[in-house]
Amino acid sequence: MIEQGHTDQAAALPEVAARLSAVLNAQLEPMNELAGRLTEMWARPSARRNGFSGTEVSSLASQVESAIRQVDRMVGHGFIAAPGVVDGHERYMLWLQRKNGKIYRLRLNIDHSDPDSYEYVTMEWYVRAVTYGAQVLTGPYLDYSGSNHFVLTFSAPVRSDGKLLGVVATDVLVHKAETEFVKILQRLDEDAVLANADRIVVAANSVRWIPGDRLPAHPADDPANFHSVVPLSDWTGWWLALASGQGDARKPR
Amino acid sequence: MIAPLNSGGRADELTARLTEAIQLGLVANGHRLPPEREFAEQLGVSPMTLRDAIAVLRDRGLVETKRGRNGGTFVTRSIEPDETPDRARLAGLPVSALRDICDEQRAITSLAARLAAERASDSSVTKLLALVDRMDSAATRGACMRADSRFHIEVAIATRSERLTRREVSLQAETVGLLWLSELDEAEAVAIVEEHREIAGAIAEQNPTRAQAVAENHVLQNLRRLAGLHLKLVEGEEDRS
Repeated sequence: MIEQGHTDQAAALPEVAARLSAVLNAQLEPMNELAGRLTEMWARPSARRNGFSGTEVSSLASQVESAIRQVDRMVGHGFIAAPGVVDGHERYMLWLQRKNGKIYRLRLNIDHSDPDSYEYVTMEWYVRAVTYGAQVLTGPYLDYSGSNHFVLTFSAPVRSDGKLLGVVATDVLVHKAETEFVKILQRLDEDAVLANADRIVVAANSVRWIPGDRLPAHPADDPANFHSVVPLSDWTGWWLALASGQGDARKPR
Repeated sequence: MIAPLNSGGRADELTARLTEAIQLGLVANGHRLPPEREFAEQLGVSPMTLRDAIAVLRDRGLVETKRGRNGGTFVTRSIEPDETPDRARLAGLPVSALRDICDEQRAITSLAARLAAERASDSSVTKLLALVDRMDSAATRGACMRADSRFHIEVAIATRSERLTRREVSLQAETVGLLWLSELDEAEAVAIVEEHREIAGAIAEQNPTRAQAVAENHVLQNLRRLAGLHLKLVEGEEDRS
């Protein structure tokens, strides 16, 4: 009889990092598809003349809705237009949300003349996407003034011939993502922690780190506490680290 | 026998969230609320709970219901909320009741400040500092109320705790209008800004102990301010016994 401990090989750290990266990279697919439709629409002469029409952008709602339906952890998705890109609208959003099993369009106060409006051009996920010129990952954070959910936001700029049309984005529920991450981390025998670029713990396979805590130092700068550190896909800024020393080391079964 | 759930609690929480959302401008003025059943579904409450909450919002002048073809319930956010209902409410709240609210506020607000100092992201810190400046330059009651609530809610958001944030939203909805009455001394208004600046500073420095201490002090000072306003309001009242 083969003992479980021998057949149950600990997954190599890079492999686990790759699996985690794959989960994050997969979230970019619907965003790329939406961006593709938008750049196609922008190629129309009417768009070049006057910008998008609100109706045109709204026509993408069914595509956005079906993308959300297909992925359980997705709670929001859509397109946030750069100022003035949608004709007659200084600000414009096509954003759909899932709540209590239903999907509906989120209507925020984006009236630019109102000083209390939701000024999305200053939001971290918008600014970073536009500044870096490629996909970025923001959070975990509590999106109080937007969706009112605890989320990770994936965002990427949409450009056509160098012109910024806006940002496509996806919100993923942190609680659902964490559950998936933990399942993957539990393939590792040693204590492992997944942290974001701000050193905030996202998930762990041990109670040594609680999600939301900030690590005192970056794992890569902390050889006393972490013996192996592997980054996830570059664009995420996330790190997977294995702990040194004592603590809650998991026993082989 | 299992006692039924206190549905009143949910209506209160919903009312607070909607009040705050309207007063902070998260929903545009004139925005038409979705049909009752749909809205209740979206919010995850029963239509009854939603109806109760909307009734309170109507009383507070935050929404109005129009009948007819283009009817519905619309947000009527006034940039300058009327003092009268808040004044009446504060006059009716004895200091012992204010102390009770303050006890809860102390627990939530000072813990939120501590946790924010431990956990806040750089962008949260930037937002907090900007909100202090916004309060500094706020010239009207409405602007002060919004800057004040937004600051405390932003501290809670920085902790990433949904529950602390919900509690803080509730507390702000309940108290911010009572504080910013025209009877509030200018000196107190200045002190409030400075206390916010201290809290934001401690969070920016990642100093949890100091953040908690200055936040707690701020809540205690607010209790003194509210109690002082209450006493001023009841001073003029006749003894009808």
